[in-house]
Amino acid sequence: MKQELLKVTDLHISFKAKGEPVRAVTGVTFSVSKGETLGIVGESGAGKSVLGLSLMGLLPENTAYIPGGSIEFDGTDLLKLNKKQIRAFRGDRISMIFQDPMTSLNPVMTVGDQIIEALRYHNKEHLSKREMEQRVDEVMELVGIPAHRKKEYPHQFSGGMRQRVVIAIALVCNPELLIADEPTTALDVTIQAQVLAIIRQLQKQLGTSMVLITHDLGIVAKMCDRVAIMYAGEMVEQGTIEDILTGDFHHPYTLGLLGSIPNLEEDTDRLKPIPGLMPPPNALPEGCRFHPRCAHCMEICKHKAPEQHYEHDGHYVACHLFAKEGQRDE
Amino acid sequence: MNSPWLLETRNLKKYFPAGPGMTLHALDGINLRIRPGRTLGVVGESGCGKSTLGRTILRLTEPTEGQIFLNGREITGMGKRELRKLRTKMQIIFQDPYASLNPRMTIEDSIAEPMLVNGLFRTKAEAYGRVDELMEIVGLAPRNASLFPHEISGGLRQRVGIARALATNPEFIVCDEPVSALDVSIQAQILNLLMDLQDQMGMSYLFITHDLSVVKHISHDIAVMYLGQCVESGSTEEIFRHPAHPYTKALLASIPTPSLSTRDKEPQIIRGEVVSPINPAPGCRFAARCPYATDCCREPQQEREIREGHFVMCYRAEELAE
Repeated sequence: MKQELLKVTDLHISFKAKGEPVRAVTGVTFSVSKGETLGIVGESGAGKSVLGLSLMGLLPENTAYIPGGSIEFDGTDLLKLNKKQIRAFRGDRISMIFQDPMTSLNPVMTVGDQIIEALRYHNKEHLSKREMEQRVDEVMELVGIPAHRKKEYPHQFSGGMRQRVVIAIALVCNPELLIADEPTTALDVTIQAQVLAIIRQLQKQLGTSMVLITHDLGIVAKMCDRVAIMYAGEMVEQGTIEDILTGDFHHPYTLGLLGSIPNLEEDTDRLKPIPGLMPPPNALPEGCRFHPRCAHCMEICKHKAPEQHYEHDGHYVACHLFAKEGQRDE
Repeated sequence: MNSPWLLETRNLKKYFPAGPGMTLHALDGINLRIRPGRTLGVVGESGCGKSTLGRTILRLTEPTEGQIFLNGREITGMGKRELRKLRTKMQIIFQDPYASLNPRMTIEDSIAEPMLVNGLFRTKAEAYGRVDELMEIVGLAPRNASLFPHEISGGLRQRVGIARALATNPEFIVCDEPVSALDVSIQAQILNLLMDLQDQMGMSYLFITHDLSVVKHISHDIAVMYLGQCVESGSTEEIFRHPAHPYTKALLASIPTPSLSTRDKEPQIIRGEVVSPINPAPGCRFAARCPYATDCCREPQQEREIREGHFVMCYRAEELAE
């Protein structure tokens, strides 16, 4: 059994709103072992990014709250920590790569200063100023930016280079867990390939665990060891990358996602889109949340939320279709 | 007059002034041909000029040089009044339907507008009758008619954009990244709709996108653009089976596919990034990033037909073609 670095159990995240609270994430459970990459896949509004922010303790304070669950990182429940304590983890042992490098970088600070900032704040190895500068140079080389560019500002970099700066900031303290929220969505394909290759290579080199949030199953296939599919705030399927991409033990939503993507390797005449839309979190349907869009919808789906049914240890589908005989008529 | 092509461009150029002594070469000698009822997919990365191409073909921006023919009639140099009549025959669908719809107009008013502006119907009632038909064609429920753009989802908004484009019975539609802002499940709905409409009504599309899997799915022919030039063009099958230009090859290799077969393959990654389109050097514009570049690449490249209908702008095309 691999050592679990991150263990999220029955996590709920809600937002305050007029009237009923809005439930963005409901009862999500997953774990990430050391050196492993977990992909969290879903469409906009599924709750992926909110989930990512909660792992960093970065949920908007005034509106979001966590009604239940736990986020255990290396044995410590992050939800039980106060602000100061969580700051010791954030940026040091856990760090994050955001989607849009233009908005996540400070436009009036040189990239070198931005990279050194986290190091200066945490500085667990008590490095001298010169040693810190050296570390910045190393990290920049690592992500493929010539170190002499550290005196430049974000606007002097191209999109792909900026994303490398963001990665350098995330890596400077040698984090054990990296949360990457759509790290290449804003980039062109050839640049995306470069950035993904860098992330993959660094992970191999440094043994960092990663939670990769994306809507692109192609990226997941390239990067992830395990995958969780999210729909309307829930995880509807979880398994290894092989489990998700092969076989026929799948949630109808997973199949819908795969059927919606034009396939480059085979010729398809028509795509098989999923009819309808994802429900907004303040108007979730009764029973299974996917049932109004599901082609296999049964009576039970309309009023009873499905349990997780396991194909084997580690691969489950939350769908009534996979209930064992007898269970279904309950 | 009788041309086999619905749309043709010859040596189309669009330069933008970019400060003293500097010119941005957004389009640099584009030759395209689209058959009636077919789709030409234009692929390329940001800044390669693909959106400028769409806009220039419709004369929403004036070309600097070159000719555009619609049904064999030259539309470059056409006067305003004549062009306006022709506008009904060529329409555009934009990427972001939220930005392209008037937020203060209801859905039905937005769809009716192009018909009323062009005087296609004698009475408003007739036009609104057609609106109901169009809404049904694109899959918008009648209850949406009196809603405003902010009240409907992105997928539905794009359907409004499509209905608007269809309103004047066009023969040619420029689709500028029409599905890029949408989630995959919604993207598939819109792609299917566009393909069904083409089957029923027989219009041609110029389909602009950065997504190669989408372009493969929807296009009959493909043109690959790089920094204002069309570096490779041909039938979809030909381009995907036998890509010849190093840039096309790199693009194809860069797409992550949702399958296990390519998982452990390290793609051949091209170095560097797109250089500036301002005052480009005369040679091949991809040379700086190209793994196959030689001294000859500093010379201006010619578009050559290496197989029937397969044009490549690379002097090593034959030896590199798969």
